[in-house]
Amino acid sequence: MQGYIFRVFGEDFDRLKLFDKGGYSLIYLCGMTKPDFTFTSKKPSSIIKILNPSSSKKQISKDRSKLEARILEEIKGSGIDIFEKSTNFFNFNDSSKGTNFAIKMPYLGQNLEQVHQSYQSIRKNIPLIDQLLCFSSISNALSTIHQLGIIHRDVKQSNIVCLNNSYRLIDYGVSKADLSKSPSDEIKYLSGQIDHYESEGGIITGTPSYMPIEQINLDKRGIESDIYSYCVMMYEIITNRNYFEQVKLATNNKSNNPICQFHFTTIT
Amino acid sequence: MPISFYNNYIRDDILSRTGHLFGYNFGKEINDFSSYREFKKALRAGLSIDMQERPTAKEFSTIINSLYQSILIQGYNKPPSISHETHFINPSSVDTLAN
Repeated sequence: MQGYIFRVFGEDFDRLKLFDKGGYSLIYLCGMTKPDFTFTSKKPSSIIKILNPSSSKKQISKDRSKLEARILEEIKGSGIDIFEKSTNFFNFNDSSKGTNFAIKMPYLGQNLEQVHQSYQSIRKNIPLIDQLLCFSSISNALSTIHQLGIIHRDVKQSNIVCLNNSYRLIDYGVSKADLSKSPSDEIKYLSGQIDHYESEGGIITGTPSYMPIEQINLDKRGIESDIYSYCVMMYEIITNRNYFEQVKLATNNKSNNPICQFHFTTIT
Repeated sequence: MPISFYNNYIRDDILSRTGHLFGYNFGKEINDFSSYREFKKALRAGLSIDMQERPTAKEFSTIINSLYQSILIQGYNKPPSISHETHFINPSSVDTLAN
């Protein structure tokens, strides 16, 4: 089983489970290995996100992962406690030997979507105090990254992890640095590259049911786009209902409203 | 279809029909908190298609922290737990979220 062991940031991990597969990355639940390379317990200790080998040669994947790494550095450098800054590491390395990209963060536990589902399964709501703690944590996180000129662009329940009343906004994989506000020239340059690619390819990033109209139409997006997604997320937590399903109901499923047109053709 | 259709009809309709769920989930007493009314208004504005209408994250942070503090200080009685399956939404409900 040693073939499953891989080394990130000088530490050896065993890959317990493929947790998620993004557009350009693979996300594993991992456990630390013992010094003799035998496996420790099967309880995950970390989440490790690496560049998907199948897309590692694509320029857009490199640009995107490089931007994510820089955004995380920017957040960490700001000294603001958005995520587990003391135990998160990220690195981007593009050399003749290949491209290395990895993000390691501690496994905090379930994401908000899983927690919400578990409450729904027993016909309960997430307790009010927990809801407000979550909303407050995420608004603080959004406020902070917006001040840094960063737009998350994928705020949703599954991108919020919770542990002991602490809620963290994770996954900056499709985030964007605002050209006018970003303090880093490198981020400006990189985000310019990404924007150009998007406008040419017509790529839409994010999760359809959380997207505001400007994101769907590839119009100018700003920090306000995160606010819409954030509000959809809050609506769903409070009411136990899917906001887009409610839009469909309200329009009798047949409206030519642009939001519905997009969703009907994309996610149904 | 004009954007105002969403802002003036769809969003309001959704929030009207589900508005009482907020009060039910959050508890009857919470409706008396001014910070809760501010929160509902902010949420409604945040779902607007017009980007300019949406509050900032900082504004949300202030409103939610205020609501949180209100609940901690004044206390509130927890409502009974509900599920979306057992809680029927009446489409003709006039319980408007924005009010």
